[in-house]
Amino acid sequence: MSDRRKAQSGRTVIFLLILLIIAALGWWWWRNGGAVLPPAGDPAPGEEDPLPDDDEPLPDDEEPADEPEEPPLLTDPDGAVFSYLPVGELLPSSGPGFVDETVYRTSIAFPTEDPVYLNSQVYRFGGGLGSVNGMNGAQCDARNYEYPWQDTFCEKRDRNQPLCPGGGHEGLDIRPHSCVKNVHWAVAVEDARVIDVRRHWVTLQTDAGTIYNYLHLNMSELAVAEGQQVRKGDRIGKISNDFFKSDGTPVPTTTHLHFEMYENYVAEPGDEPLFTKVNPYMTLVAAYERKLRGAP
Amino acid sequence: MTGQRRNLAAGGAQLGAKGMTMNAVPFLRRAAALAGAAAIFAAGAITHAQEDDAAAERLRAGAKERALTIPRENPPEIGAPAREIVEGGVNWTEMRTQLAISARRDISADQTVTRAVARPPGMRAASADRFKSVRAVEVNRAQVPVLAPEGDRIAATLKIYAQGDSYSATAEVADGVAMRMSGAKRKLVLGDAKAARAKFSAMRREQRTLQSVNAPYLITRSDSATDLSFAKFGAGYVLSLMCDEPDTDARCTGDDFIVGLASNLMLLNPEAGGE
Repeated sequence: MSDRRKAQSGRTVIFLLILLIIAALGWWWWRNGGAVLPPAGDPAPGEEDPLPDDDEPLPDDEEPADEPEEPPLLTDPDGAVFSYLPVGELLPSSGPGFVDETVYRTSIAFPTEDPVYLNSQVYRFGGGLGSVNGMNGAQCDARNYEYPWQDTFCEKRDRNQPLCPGGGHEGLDIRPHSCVKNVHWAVAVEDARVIDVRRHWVTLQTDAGTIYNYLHLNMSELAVAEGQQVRKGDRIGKISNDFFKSDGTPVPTTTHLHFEMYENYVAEPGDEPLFTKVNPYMTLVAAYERKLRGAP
Repeated sequence: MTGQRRNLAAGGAQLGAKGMTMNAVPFLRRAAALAGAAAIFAAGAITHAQEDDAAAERLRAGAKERALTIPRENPPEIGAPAREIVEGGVNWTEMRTQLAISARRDISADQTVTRAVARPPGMRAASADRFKSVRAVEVNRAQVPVLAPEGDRIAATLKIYAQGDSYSATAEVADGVAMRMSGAKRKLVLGDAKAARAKFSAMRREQRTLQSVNAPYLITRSDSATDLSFAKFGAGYVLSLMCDEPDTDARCTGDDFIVGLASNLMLLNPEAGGE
């Protein structure tokens, strides 16, 4: 082989390697939403206080459009318009859902102090099955921390049960205001008794019998103890990702509050009651609405 | 031409005294092929990721379009509010009758020649004093029959928290399994009766009879518990089992263990509801 051919081969390799590097950089750039690296000190995704698109300030020289004004909508303390998807409307391929418009308790407090985002921990960015809907990314992806809320009751799991055909998630997953754990408080939704503190859950029960399960709080820093009577709005613990087996072995999960509600209910007076888990989605929508209006 | 030069001309490279020989051109070709394949792979990955991201963005955009908002002024009612009822209260007579039925069954079983190893299913009276972690004041506060499953580990770790119209009993059942049994006499009439009726009829078809209290039961499973629900004495009950491994532990994946637990119940306040 001549020196010329050797040199040519070498150049080809270098050229292809450069192409490869450019492609890899392009891929990295595109995966990060086309953004450049944030300057030091910028908040991480999910820790930001995202502004909704329609709240972006207009340039000074731009005149307001001469269109009829939309009625003002309910917003959260960050100024973001609160919105939610209908009950039972889950992400595609994530389970059957369960349509239940019932607001089980009409005067409960919302179970967190700060604004939150109800959505899937499994089928969204950072979830084990996020790729099912092209939602590849990390749990702190800012797109997880936005409205609208989405129901996750009867999201698909491998557990046989009649309420969610094919198996399902009988609770709601609540992302705290940011993906930083051990910062955001969960609070008692009603006057109740703390009846169980174990592994990674805290259970409350009211005089009426309603049971509320709070899962994945920071169990080493709870504000309550078993047997204690709590008042509506009292702090219980900080939202975290605690998840343990009974021998203390940790199980990985995202930073979120898994919230469950049991009720003793009948479809009509005179029926035998069923004391089971219920879908708290509309109950929480109504409680959040009251919270955003400043109700205790 | 030196030996090294000849080797190169033959398509190879020799590093002489350092003892390492390399065939330069095939190496370069392989490297080029590898780089090309990697570039193609990267291009494919980019395309795939772009498609994924486009799908995710379509979903987000669609969700934002369909999402419901709430006007600040004159908002519509949200959802279908439930209403709470207490109908009929607790049937204490039925409770005492059930206790007597169980006692008679136990006596008959004891008198049989074969002396069956397992006791017949039943509901038996048990004094709160028997349990080191149960406070009698809690049991006495309950205005509903306080039921809990039998078992040595349960008895050793049982706690009761009562609040008048409801109670809960918690305990360890065995290694890797905890339990909670709750009862309540107040009931909620569902607001979304249409959805509830359809679901209830399907659920009730699956019910079988719990022999300890002669009541139909239903089992459901979720991330946190396997639940057995039944209604008796005018109250609703739910026995929840929390397994370390809810997806693989047969005590939570199957029905036998939880039905077995619910088949032998203790009644901790047999004197409650007396005239």
